[in-house]
Amino acid sequence: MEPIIKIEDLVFDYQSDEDGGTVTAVDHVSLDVERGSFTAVIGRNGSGKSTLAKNVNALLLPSGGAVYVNGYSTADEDKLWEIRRTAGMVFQNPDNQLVSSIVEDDVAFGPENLGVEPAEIRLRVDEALRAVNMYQYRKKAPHLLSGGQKQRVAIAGVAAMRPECIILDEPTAMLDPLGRKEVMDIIRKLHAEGITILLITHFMEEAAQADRVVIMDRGRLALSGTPEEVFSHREEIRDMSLDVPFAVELADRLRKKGAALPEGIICEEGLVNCLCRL
Amino acid sequence: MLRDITLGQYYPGESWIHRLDPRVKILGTFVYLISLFLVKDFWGFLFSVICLGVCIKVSRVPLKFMLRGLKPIFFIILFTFVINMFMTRGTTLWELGFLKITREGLYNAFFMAARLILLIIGSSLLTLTTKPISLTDGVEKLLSPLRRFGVPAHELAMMMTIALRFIPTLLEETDKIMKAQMARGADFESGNLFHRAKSLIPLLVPLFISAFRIATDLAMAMEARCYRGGDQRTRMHGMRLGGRDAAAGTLLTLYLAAIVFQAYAWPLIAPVVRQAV
Amino acid sequence: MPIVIEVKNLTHIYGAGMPFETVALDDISFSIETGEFVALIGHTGSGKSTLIQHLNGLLPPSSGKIFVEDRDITEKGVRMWDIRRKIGLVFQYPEYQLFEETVAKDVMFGPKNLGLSEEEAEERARAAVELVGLPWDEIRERSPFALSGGQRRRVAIAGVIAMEPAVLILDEPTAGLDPKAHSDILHMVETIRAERGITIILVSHNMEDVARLADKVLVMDSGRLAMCGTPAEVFSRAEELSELGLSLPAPAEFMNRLAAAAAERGMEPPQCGALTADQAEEAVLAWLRETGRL
Repeated sequence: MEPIIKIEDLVFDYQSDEDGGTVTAVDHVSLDVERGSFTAVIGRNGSGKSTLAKNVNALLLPSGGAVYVNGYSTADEDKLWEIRRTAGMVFQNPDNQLVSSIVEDDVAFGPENLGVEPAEIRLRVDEALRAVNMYQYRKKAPHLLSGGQKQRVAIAGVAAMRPECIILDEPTAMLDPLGRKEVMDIIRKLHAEGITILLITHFMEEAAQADRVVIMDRGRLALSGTPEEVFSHREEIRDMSLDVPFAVELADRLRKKGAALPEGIICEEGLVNCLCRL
Repeated sequence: MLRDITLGQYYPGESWIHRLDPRVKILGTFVYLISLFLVKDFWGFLFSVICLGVCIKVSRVPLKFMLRGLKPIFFIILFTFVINMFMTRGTTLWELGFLKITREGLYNAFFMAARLILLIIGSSLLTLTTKPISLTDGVEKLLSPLRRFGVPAHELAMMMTIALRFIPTLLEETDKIMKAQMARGADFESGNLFHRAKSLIPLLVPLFISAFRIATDLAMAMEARCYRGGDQRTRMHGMRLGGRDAAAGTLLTLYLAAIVFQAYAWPLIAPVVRQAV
Repeated sequence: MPIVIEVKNLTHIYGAGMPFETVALDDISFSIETGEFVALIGHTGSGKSTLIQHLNGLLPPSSGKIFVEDRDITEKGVRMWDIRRKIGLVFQYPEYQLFEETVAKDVMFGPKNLGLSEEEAEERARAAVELVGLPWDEIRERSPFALSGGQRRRVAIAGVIAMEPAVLILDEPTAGLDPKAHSDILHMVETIRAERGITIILVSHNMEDVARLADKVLVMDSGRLAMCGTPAEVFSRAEELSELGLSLPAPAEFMNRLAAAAAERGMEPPQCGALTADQAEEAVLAWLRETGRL
């Protein structure tokens, strides 16, 4: 099947605020995202991962190369709304992306923009709010909710547009551990329901939950593969100033001390099992 | 704290008035405000007071809430009263030096004060019984026929919606920045006027930057959710006028007719009627 | 060690007498010694922010007393300056409080509010900027808004350090940073502590950092001080912590899981209580050796 997102040799340049010089944020990146997959993109601040995400949603347009969503090029203005509906986007700051002072009206904002019939909007809004476990808060004002709850409302707002793919740009960066867990649970649930997930993050534990991990470094695609494959490149990951999950780190240290642990351990449960079986 | 300020206060309820279509309520409030400038005498005022009283009763909003809205403008009312009392020429009732109270002055003062009070209570009944969000929807719908003449009805309503959404966020932000600067020894309270204005810079600069950041983020988030202006947009809450709204419209028309009749027609026909009787 | 902050029966009630009255702090008592590294943990809304705002006089208590170097700061007539020059408070996302045209001016804002002369303020600003690891000569005349996010945060922290407080309170100084910037900021905090001998209070959600850095951990829960002790003491109470919605540092969590799995299989369990990766590595190796598998 054709991949839902196809990034072909993408280059994105922008003018620097300070000296007016050209900065290359994304430097010849190619990437296919398969339908129904869960891909995590990790990298340091300024590695180009957010710029990449905004290019997929046509919020930014390529300086070079091309991005296709469902076969439509993001440069094709006629298909702009189709692209944004297909690949919805959730942003980092939970406060700055909610439009209305009532939760359910905010969730309705997307479908309203698409011109969906009022009765159908009602159905979608209720369904989306239930999917993120926020239905009981539908009449509340967003500023009275916690960060994790606000972020779930933002996800519902995208889900109500019935996208095939959701791009999340560091959705947990500003949340506390409880909020992070709430949001990750919802992301996994949506993925299980068949929605393609593209998660931008700098938390390794979150990336380990994906079925594919892509690491970006200074605008380039540095590593790509299953979490097991990617996290086996521990030295390279550390050289890019990123952490590896604790289980990966500990397994590595134990191997160096002579423990006969197999490769491909990425979670604590896996390491516990291997240690008990030694 | 700043957070405790509530703007566009709404008193939650399920009363007959709460459930009216916002358009009817907005128009009704307009009609009422106009009627206050049409009435000319005591009986006319009494009638409009009674009608407003009935509406308040029906809305089940405590009178105390209504009167709270008067507090900030108490001095304006007092000022209007005093000016009218002393500045109107006519039959002198009382005199001290250059101060003179006339019968007409007293009459005018009472009416102007009554007008102001009714004006405030009348419009606060609208905001107290209508959710801010329905209010903006109502404004958008009412203004939409004027789009042909270039009135940006949808844009105005969207601006109101966003303002309502971000007022609490910005108040919180203000509180946070103020505390952060106070922790660095900033003093927002003492000093003369010039000093105080200057001490606001450490608050205003970060606040403006925050506001711009919010605006940029929000614009991007709205675009990502396919926002492209008011055309083709549908609304989840369709507004439909029901029997309740028709009844309210009829009552409103009757009210306006009664006021106009009492103020303008009655004085003309009264002598005729009296003669006939 | 002398006591630098002592809190006695501190209670704070928001909106007292109103229908939405909430008890934000409920009868809190603890003390902090000079030079201690204290971590304050608890989930969002547990009262951490309210507590730290009391410590530098931004919020007045409803009842209770706070002593800073034996002076009661809740007493009437205490000058706020005297408190704020002793207790420096860095809020969350402090880079958003920058407002001046140049880095130097912004960092000098605090010292000048303390009534210092231009020269003294500049000298302090230079020392503070260098202490947070930024080159003074290079950035003093630059606009703070032209710096990178991480640098802006350092400048904001320098703005508080330039007031030369005896206690530095940092509210989640690493929020929103990537792993590298995160560890850089914590290194910076350690440097500040080592060079100035300042008492540190760190509000954090990151249990690994707390376990590694803190001498003492205060755990807040719905306005109460739920626990107070060394990291080893606090993190040995795993069940209570999880009831409060808090987790253990990853190494401790892992060792507990390993011990449970071993016990389930009828094996000798390893020694629990590791707080850092080094300790966990030691414990696992020791366990493997004891059970004859290494």
